[in-house]
Amino acid sequence: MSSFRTCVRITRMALLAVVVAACSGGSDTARPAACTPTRPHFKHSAPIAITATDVTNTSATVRLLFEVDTYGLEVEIYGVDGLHVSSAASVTHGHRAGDAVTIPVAFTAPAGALSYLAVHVTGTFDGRSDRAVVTFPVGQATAESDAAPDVVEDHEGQRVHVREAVRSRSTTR
Amino acid sequence: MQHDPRGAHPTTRIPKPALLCAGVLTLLASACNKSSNRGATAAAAPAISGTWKYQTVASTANGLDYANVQEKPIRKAVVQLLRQPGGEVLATGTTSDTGTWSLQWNGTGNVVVRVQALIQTPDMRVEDNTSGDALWTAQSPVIAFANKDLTGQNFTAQLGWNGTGYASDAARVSAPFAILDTAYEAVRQILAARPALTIPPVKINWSPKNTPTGGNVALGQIGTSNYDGTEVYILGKEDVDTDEFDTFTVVHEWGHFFEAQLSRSDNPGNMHTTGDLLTPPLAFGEGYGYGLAAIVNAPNNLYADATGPRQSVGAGSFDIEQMPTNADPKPGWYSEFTIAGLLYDLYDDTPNEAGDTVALGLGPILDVLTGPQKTTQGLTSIFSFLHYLKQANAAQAAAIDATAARNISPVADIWGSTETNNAGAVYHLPVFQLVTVGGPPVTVTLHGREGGGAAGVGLQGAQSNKLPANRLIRFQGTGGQITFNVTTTPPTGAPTDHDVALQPFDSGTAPGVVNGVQSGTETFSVPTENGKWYVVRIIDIGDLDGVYTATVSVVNA
Repeated sequence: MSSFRTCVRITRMALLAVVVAACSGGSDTARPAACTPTRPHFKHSAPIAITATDVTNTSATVRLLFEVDTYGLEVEIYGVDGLHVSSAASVTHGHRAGDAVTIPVAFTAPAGALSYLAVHVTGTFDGRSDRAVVTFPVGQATAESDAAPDVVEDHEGQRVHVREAVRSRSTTR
Repeated sequence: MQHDPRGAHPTTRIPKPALLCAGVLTLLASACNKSSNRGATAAAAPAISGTWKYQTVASTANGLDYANVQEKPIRKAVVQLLRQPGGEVLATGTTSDTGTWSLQWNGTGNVVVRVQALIQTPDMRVEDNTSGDALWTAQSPVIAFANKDLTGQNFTAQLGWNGTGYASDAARVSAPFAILDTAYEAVRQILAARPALTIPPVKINWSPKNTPTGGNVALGQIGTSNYDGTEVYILGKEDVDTDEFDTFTVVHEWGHFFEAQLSRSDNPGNMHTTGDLLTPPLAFGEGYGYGLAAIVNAPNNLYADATGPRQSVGAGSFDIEQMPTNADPKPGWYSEFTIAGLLYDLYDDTPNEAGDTVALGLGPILDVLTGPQKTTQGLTSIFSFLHYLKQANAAQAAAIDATAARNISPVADIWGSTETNNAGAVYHLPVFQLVTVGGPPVTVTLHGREGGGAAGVGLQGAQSNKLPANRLIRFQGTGGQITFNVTTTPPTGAPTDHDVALQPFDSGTAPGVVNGVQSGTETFSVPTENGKWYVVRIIDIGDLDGVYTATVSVVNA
């Protein structure tokens, strides 16, 4: 069923007698992105690279890298799954292509659980309104926190995730 | 995972004939009684019937419209009657196109009715990738069944919104059914246009934990909504990005599945965004996804993707019917948005753009996608698509060209040989550079890292799928072994060369990437068929910024 192709999944050699699968550890410098010619088909996002470095249980440094001229920028940095942001520097509204901005962020994260630092950006990018959103994991999921109590195995041996529905209030659409 | 706490009874399987009879309404029920109803007699068993619906909200330019919750039928989904407690399956069926269902059981006692996010024909299911791929299921409250007909058992998979947020993850019952129904609508319209098509099984993964973080999909870290070449993944993280009600996103990602399975995609994937100059297969693959979403969702043409706190941000939405005049900063054959609007205009019967005088409907588009586009010796691009579309609809060829006249030149072949829009740089043309086996070397130009700066940082080499970082070479086989060479020269004073990799294509088969050296000449040798066309994608993978040239030759080995 899969048509996913990567350098290390060379299965059909009808064309290539001597294809070098260098990405799997061959002669060239490792460049994983380019060595995976077919990557997942991502949905559209604004032309901005959002990264986080030095992520600890209490802080991180968020970096915004603008790929095009951007104005009207609004950046929201917040937590989900129990993470609470206590401080994050504000960001100016206009940036040129190639500009980079770093934002120190302080937060409190739940102990012994996985939570996320979320960065949501909106603005006008290259003249077009757009948005980008990324989350960064903080902490680790535990078996206890990750268990889904409503996942069961039915009588046919199929795993089902059962959620409770309600009686309809009316019969009309 | 737990074993079903209601499963105290021995496991029993519904025999195959019962499944075949599943879903029949009362009128047909007697023919199925013996097999579908445990303990049934020859006489008609009492029926329990009702409807299953799911709640949904529209995705708008201002985010999800929670003020207007709608109810829609859960269509064609598997429905089960189970003993309660115990969990023994007593009868199985499917819902109708209006969400109605009827099951028969000759017995007395407490029961529940479950509806699964599963359609059997074609096989479509929504599973929880964060719970061991468990099938999403909604269950009714307990019903006292007294061995006589019981009607009006109407249930709703609810939205779970309490006015300010979702009451809990567990309250979000409708989400997987919304996804299933959106994908089913795409299937329904495709099969209505071309009933002979067979849609392969598809698995769609959704979880309220699915978040835009790359990592472990079992934890919900799916990167973003995507088709990974095998399965579809949909975001579900509240206050960050949920896509279950973003019907354009669901159809778009499902469309990638359809294209990969029933058509062909030479799309390299990876990140793409506003104003990008995309390599032709990527521009077509993504534009096709948007175009299909607009067709399936018509007359709603607004691509909307709700994000942010309370799913209240709709920035980035665009009206596909208005392309290329709206939100398409660099219209042309390399723009996903241009192609999205073009596909929709080829389909629709609303001539709101100059030159849009065709209304082909979905069928002819599917014919190309599942026909010649699948076997083209070129790459899957707007050029191959339009060329084959014009061939199959010769009487409308001029009108198709007129509709495509949005920075796309009239198409004469699958190579875009007549294209005059150079996307801002003369070296972007020809789209497919012809090289003759045994002929003189040809010089091509690439743009390393497309201006540097943001390139390669954070986006994990996403520039490798952009037009300036790619050159497409075509050559015709000789029937013998050939050697393909690409040589780059270090810029003056630079410590290293611009590095390229090569991706050969044989009618869409792309077995790997040639990346043997970091500097100098990349080369490979292959046997060829006489007269057959082959394509090689030269990809800039170096760290150096700037425009540079590479010398390409194809010689008999």
